[in-house]
Amino acid sequence: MMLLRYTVGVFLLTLLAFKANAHPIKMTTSKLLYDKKANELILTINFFEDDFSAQLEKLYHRKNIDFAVVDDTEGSMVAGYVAKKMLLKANKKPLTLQLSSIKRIEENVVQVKLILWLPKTKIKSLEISDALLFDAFAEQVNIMHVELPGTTSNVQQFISSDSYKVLKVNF
Amino acid sequence: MNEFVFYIKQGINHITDWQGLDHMLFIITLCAVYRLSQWRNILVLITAFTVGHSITLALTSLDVIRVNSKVVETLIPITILLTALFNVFKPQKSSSLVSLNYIMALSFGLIHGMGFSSFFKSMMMGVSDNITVPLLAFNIGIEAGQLMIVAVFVLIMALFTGFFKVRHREWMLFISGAGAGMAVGMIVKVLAE
Repeated sequence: MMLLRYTVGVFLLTLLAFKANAHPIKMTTSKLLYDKKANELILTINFFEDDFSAQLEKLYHRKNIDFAVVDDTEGSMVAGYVAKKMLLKANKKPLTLQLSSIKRIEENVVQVKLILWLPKTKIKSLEISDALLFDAFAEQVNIMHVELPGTTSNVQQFISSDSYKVLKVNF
Repeated sequence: MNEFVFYIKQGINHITDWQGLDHMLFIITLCAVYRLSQWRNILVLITAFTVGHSITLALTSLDVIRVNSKVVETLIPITILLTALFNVFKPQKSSSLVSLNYIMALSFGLIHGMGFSSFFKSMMMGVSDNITVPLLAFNIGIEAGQLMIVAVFVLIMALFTGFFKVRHREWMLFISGAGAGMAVGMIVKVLAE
């Protein structure tokens, strides 16, 4: 009986002291591919729709962004946000992103596709940094898959709590 | 980083960091009834849990079965609470209850596997051309992380029961009480959301 009371005591103490901090997963996934024919990079980013729309609404003072019907203004907002948070450099020079499409690919997942034209000179190196939604969530994690010629498939994780990180790919 | 290594690392991190506290807590509560000399039983128990969660991790990730994540999030702390209650109220020294422990590990493992799959599916969102290799690597990572947790737990148990001479039953009741307290905290949090 004494031990049972002891267990109940530990139970109550833990219950009072413990703060469950479970939170929904905060993540984006991206894929960077090379289109040899067009000499361009194709960047596909997948966001959780609720997280992304909430952050855009907050930053651009909009209401009820619906990714099923994106107008030009919202398209510019998305492209602008990605360009600000995701830095891509070829041969140490920044690349310009151009929005190709935005679509909802599954429940609560929106996919943004962007195109980056590469310079005609031979690409020796590529630098990528991904800080998408780091401004929204302290626990944000971004996963970047890079599939480029001459490189083995590469995956990198960018974490909000980490210091600024750059993925370097040498061709 | 190589893709296979990346997902192994994700599996280890997922179960060993605070995000995987519920899984960690379940393993600890499950192992709390065993003494250091019963390390073989612990291994069998962990294997049963592994079989359970691997089945549902694969089935859910491959979309063979679909689950409501809210229900799974609620069920996971319930498995911890039930395990803790079982530890406290089961009669001591009963061989049939040892096998009941394995059945619990296996069946509760099925629920935890659905929890692992939420994280795995998030990592695969929109990039899931072929998930077999990442799935295998992620599962290996979870196993490795699980073994690390058990190893650390057993070492701490050996320290308390061997060096500080804490009676094993007191140790088990302490772990079970704390596990139940945290589990109830988690259940309240999930239901309040």
